[in-house]
Amino acid sequence: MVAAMVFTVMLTTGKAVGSEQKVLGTIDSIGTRTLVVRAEADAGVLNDVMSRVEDIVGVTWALGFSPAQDVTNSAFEDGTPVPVRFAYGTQLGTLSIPERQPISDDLAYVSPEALSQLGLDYPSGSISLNSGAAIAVVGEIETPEVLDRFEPLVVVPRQDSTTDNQPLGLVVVTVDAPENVEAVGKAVLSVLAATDSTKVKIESSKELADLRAIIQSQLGSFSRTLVLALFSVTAVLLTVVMTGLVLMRRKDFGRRRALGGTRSFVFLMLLLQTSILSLAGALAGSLTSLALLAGSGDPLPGMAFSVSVITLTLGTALVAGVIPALIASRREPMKELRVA
Amino acid sequence: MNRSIRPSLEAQELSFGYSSGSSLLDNWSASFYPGTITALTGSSGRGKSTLLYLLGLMLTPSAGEILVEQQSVSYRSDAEKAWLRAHRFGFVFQDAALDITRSVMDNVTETALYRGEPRKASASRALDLLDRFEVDVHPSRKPSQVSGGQAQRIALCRALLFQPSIVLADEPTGNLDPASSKIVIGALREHADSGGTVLIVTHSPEIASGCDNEIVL
Repeated sequence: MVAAMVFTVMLTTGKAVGSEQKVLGTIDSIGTRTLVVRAEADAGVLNDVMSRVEDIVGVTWALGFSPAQDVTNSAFEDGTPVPVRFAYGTQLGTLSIPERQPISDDLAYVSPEALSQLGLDYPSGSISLNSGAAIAVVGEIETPEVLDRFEPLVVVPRQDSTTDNQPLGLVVVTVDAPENVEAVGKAVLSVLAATDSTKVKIESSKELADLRAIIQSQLGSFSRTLVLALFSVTAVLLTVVMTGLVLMRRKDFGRRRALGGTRSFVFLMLLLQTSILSLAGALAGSLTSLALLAGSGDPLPGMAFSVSVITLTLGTALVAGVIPALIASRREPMKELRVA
Repeated sequence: MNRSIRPSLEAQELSFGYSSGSSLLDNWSASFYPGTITALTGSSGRGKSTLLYLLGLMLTPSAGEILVEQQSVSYRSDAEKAWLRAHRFGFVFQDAALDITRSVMDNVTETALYRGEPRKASASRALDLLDRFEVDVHPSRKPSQVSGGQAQRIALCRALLFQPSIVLADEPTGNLDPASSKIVIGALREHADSGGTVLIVTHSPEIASGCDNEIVL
């Protein structure tokens, strides 16, 4: 019964906890810590704000981008247009772009998806802006997760001071912790110094952070309720079954008492037997369920959860064993040993 | 009877009745001496077994005293009575009352558990007793693999293992064949002859006549 209970807990709550951890991990990884500021071209947000954004406490990474322009492969006049953005900031390494450009001319770095759309086999060649200006393609970008949404990605780094006062269309910021997103977002807005703040929109992951908190709270609450219900039902069933077993073994307890066993001896003996059997059941149930979860590819609940379930199981079994153990210790030897 | 010897077990003005109101014993007194076997006889329902369990400190009298080696013990705590049962008494029940989940050896040495002694220490004496009472099964066998007569002899070994000063036997031959009965009664007689006090509840006139004393209830 204990093994079945632990098996059920692990397959339900354990799976829920594992899923919760996986969902939260996924939310965290896709950007509960990300801020995206979109500014219209005439909003007055210029590239020189990037140094101030980078200096905000809580900002772990920031990059500014110009409004997107279409580019095509210079080799194909009617090639598929792909958006290109000029990038401003010092943290280009995240995109696998050298921190310092080898020459002062514009150089383009292209993501694999953009390469494919531009019809380039390798990160080399040339792309053309609508204005007719050509930019050499010199490298491939490893698109970080925070920029996934901007694929296909073509980036032209600009760090030269002659490029000051260029309009930014996009500022992407990552924050050290989800709970700091809101405060950092306000700070970023305050340093952007937009001439028209109505033309600046911030897409914070605050909603995602809120969602994260809700998921954590509701799944946690669900898990707790389920565990409580399962353990309560098991405790009642264990008490009933153990009381039945005590009545079946009454001659055994009667004999022990008659031969010199004290009430406390019988009481502790029954609790010890319960503990050993419960521990065996808990281990069997948890190992079986973990193997099943692992086999089916479901998320595992983690060591802390498994240990907690086993500990809680032992506690429940001991509590459930108290009444039967008391009954066993109070049996009158004469009633149990006499043959009618 | 040499009255200079002090009784090892005494009942003084003992009364006992069940909650139904029926009184089984009323101001009942008796003394049981070392070196004697006393038969408790009487028709069914007269309280023979109840008296035996009272004297064995498994029931508490409604009035009166039980003395073990001149010490009043009937109103002592459960732990003290349990200690006395483990250290002063040996019990042979109506049926063998063996632990079917444990081996013959474990059954014989069970009392060691309640005396707080290691079972292994008494294993050699247990083997002697098993041999003496002709229990020809391997000590590692389970009680379910032995006959009724052998089971009762195993129970007798358990009762005598620590040579208790008092042995209480509740119809110990009730379910036994004559040969097994003879071995059991012989063992109890031998225990009495070596200085023990033995009380037997029996319906058998033959066994009662072989005892030193008979108390008819």
